Amino acid sequence: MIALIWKSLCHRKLQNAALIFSIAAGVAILFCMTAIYYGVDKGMELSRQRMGADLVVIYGGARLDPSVYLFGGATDNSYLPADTLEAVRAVPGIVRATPQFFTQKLSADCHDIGTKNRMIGYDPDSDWIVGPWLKQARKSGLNDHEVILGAKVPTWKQNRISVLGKWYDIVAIAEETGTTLDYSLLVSMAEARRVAAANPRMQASWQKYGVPEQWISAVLVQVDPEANLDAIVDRIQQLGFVKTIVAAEVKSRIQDQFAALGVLLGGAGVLTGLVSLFHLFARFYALTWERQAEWGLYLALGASSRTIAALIIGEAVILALVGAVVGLALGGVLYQIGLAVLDAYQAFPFVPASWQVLGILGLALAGSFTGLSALAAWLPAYEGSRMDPGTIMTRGECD
Amino acid sequence: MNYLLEVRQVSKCYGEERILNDVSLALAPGQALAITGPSGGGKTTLLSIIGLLQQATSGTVLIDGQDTGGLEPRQQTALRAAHFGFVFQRARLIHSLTALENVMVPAWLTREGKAAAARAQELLVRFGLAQRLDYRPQELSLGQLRRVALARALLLSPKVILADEPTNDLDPAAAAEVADSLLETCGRGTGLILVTHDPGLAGRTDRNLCLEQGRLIE
Repeated sequence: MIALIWKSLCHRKLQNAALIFSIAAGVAILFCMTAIYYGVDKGMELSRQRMGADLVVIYGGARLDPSVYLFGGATDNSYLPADTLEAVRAVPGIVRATPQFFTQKLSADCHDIGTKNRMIGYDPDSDWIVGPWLKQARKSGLNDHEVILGAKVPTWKQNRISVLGKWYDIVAIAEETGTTLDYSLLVSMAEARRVAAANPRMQASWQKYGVPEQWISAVLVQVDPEANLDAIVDRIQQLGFVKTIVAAEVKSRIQDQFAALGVLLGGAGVLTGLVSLFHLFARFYALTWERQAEWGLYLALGASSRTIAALIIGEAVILALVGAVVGLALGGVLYQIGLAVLDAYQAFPFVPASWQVLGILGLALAGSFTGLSALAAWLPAYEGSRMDPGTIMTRGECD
Repeated sequence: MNYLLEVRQVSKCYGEERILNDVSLALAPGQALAITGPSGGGKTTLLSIIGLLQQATSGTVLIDGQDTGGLEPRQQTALRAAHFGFVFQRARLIHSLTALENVMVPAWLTREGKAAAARAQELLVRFGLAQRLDYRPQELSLGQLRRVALARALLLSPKVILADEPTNDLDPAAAAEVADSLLETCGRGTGLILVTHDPGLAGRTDRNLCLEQGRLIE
């Protein structure tokens, strides 16, 4: 029987190759789209759960997208007077506020950790943004040689990292956020200011506007849920040349964008899936139907209905499995490309699916395509096997 | 007398039309029986009913004395595989397989592949196809196709060969080759029922029956 299956598969090379390609394309697209949809959905869910700032106050001339500041670790050398923090804290309706200080990109070191990574000064005493992302609870305060790393900052040593010629002790690693915070190195405000002060490209600015100790990059604010948000924003704007990002608006806008993207991505995925599965069903059904005379001959020559079913399902399962395996490999490549694109133009949080999730997804897709193929192939054969062999043998004949 | 098979008062209707009307016959071991008659007279239908490929509307088919009427399809399949070798009106070979592989199909389907491999080759050699073992059906002549089909029918040493117009469309030389091969099997105790329009071939059998208007006439 295996010989018959193998001979039949080899005889219809072009037909089977087209079928395998068709299955592979369907599986690849579905795998990639589902995995990306999962990552975006998880990222948004995570940000909803853990992003604590209601308002972010930054320099009025800052040009980056507000969402970059909202989700942390902006690569922007724009600064506010340090006393803005106290002025913001004094606005009625504000529960708490914490400062951050952004430095330059970290590409000038012999241990180059990449241009996307950035050192951020934060104040552990007043912070409630970074803390929840740490895997282990920490006592407050950071020494000048201590650093907290984002989840995707590369390291060569387990407990230490060299940045711009200085070795730091890694005291904690934040959980993956799916945001630019994953590429951030969090140090004390004092250390961040020291690094910025030593930056040759910033020397002219410091000489003109004063030393870094007089500046901060952003104030992250939590407001009283009962307070009038618009009034608070107005009061902060009156402090002069600041831009106040309302997190709720940004989150809402991103979520609206995501909802639209989700509808497009999900809709396209569902349609692709349905089209692939219907196509597959129709193809296998037709292929088996066209070969009813052959199954009838096998019945006449002594094959049982069970043997016929095994032949037909065996062929379908082999084709579907090969297609699914090729499709999963292609889907994996597409997914990696998708991740790279998202990584380069990341405007919203993204949490990559774990190997376990990808494995389950792959198995589910392979199982669906294989099962459906087997069913589609078996149905006409089952129908035929209930007829007299003499009748079914004459099906599909033209003469 | 022990018959290989007996057909008792078999009738077959397609709607209102009665194709076979109380047909009876019996086949002894080693006997060759020819059925002739006009086209569309029900010869192929009778052969299909005898070979358990179709159900009769009424009547009985006994194989080795066993009434096949109440058998499940699975039991009929087993009986068919054990007793019959078919040579269909057209050769009905599988195009994806070589001549040798086509002969092997019944063995593969009944899981007797290894034991039958040598016999398949021996049969093809006996039928003059030693140089055509690896040819595919589309590379063989009509006469060669029929001989491959005959080898396939003989592979599992059936007790009865059912051959439907085995020499149809063949030139005289090829028809003679196929006829010789068929009749040769009877010398080994195998029963043969063949449907033919060829009076010469019918005349070489032990018994010659004519099917006219649904009835068998001696």
